[in-house]
Amino acid sequence: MDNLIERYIYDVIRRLPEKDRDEVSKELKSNIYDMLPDSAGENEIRSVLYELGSPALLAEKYRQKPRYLISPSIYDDYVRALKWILPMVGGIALVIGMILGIIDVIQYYSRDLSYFSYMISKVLSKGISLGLSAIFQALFWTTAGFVIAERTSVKAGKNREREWKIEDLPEMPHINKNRIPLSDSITELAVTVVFSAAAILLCLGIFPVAFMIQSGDIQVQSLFSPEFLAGCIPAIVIMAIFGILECIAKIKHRQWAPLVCGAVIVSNIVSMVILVYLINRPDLFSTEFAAFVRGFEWGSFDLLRFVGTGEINPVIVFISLIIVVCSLTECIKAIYKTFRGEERHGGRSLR
Amino acid sequence: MPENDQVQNLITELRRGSLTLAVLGCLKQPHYGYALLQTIQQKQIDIEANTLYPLLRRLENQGLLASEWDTSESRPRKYYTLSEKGSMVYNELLAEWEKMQKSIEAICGKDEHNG
Repeated sequence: MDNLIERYIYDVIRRLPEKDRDEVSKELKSNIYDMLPDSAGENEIRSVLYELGSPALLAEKYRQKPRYLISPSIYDDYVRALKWILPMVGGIALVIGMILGIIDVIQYYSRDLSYFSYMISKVLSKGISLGLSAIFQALFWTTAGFVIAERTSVKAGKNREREWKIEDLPEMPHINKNRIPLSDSITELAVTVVFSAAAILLCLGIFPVAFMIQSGDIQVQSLFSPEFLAGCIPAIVIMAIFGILECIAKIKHRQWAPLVCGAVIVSNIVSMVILVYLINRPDLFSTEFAAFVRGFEWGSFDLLRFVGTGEINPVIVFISLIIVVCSLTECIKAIYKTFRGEERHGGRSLR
Repeated sequence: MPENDQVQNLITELRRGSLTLAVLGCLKQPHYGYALLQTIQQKQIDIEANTLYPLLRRLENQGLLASEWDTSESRPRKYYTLSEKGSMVYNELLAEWEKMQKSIEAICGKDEHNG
C-alpha cells in the first residue's frame, strides 16, 4: 500500500530538477501521511492521492517556471520566420525536384514520348517529395535554431521585450496596392530557378540548340559557339543568384519596401549588363553556323549577314536596346511602386 | 460549460495573490503543511493541497518562509514560519490589500447602492 505513495511521489519528482527532488520527496511524503488517518487502507490512500491530483500537474506547480521549447517572447519571431522560410524552401525544392525528375526521365527514356504520362507522374512525384522533405528539414532546422536561441539568450530576449524605444516601432504595413502577393513571388522564384536550370542544361549541351542544314543529307550543327556557351554558365549563375535574392527579399517583406526596390534594381541592372555583354560577343555563333549563313543567298534577310564577321549589326543593337529598355522599365516600375507606398504611408501617419 | 471554465479561471486569477497573503498571515505561528491547509480551509478559503504545497516551497525559495524539520515525533514534519523578510513583505502586502479593498469597494460598492 505504501507502494502507491512511493510511486506517486516518484512520478512527481522525476519531472523536477535534480536538486529539488530530495526535498520535495520528503515534503510530499510527510504531507501525504499527515493527510491519512492512522491506520489507512488502500481506499484512503487512493482518495488522498486523487485529492492531490495528477502527478504531472503537481510537478508543474512545483517547477514554478513554465518550460518552453520556444517561449512567448520569441514565438512571434519564430512564426514570422517560418512564414517566409517554409514557402520559399518548399518552392525551390519543388522546382529542383521537378528538374531532377525531368533529367531522370530523359536519361532513361530519352525522347520516347509514349512515356509521357509516366514522365509527368515521375516529375511531379519527384518534385513533391523533394519539396515536402525540404519543408520538414527547414521546419526542423528553423525550430532548432530558435530553440538554441531560446536556451542561450533568455535574458537578452526578456530585456528586448521590456526595454524599447519609440524609434523601434515598426513601420505601418503598407496596404493593398503596395503589397507583393506571396504567390507572385513564389512563382517568380520558381520561374527563375527553372529557367536558370534549363539555360545551364542548354549551355552544358544536354539539350543542344541546333540548326539543321538540309542540303542533300541532313546535318545537325550547334547554333552557338562552345566558347560562348561556356561563358554563359557563370553569367546565368550570377543572374540566377541576383534573381533569387530579389525573390527572397519580396517573399520576406511582401511589399514594396526600399530594400525590395533595391534588390529589384540591382538584379535588373546586373542581368541587363550581362545580357548586353553576352549578345555583343563576336564569338556568339558557332563557326559552322557562321559559315552556313555566309554561304547562303539571303536576299531580303540580308540583316543576318553580320554573323561571324564581328561587325556592329543593327539586329544586335536593336536587341540590346530592347534589353536595356525592359530592364530600365522594370527598375522605374519598382521605384514608382515603392514611392507610391511611401507617400501613402507618409500621408496617413501625418493625419 | 466553457463559460463556467471562464468564470473559474477568473476566480483563480483573482484569488492567486490573496492566497499568498493568507498563507503568510497564518504563518506568524509555525505550521506544518497539512495543519496549515486545515487552518486556511477552516477560514472558508477554498485552497487545494496541490496548490498549497508548491506555494509553500516557492515562498520558502524566495526567502519569505523559514522552515525546520521536526524529527521528535514518529514521522518527520516540516514546520514553516515567516522569516524576517517574510514579515516585512507580509506587512506590505496586507497594506496593499487593504488599499485595494477600499478602492474596489469605492468602485463596486456604488454599483450595489444604485442597483
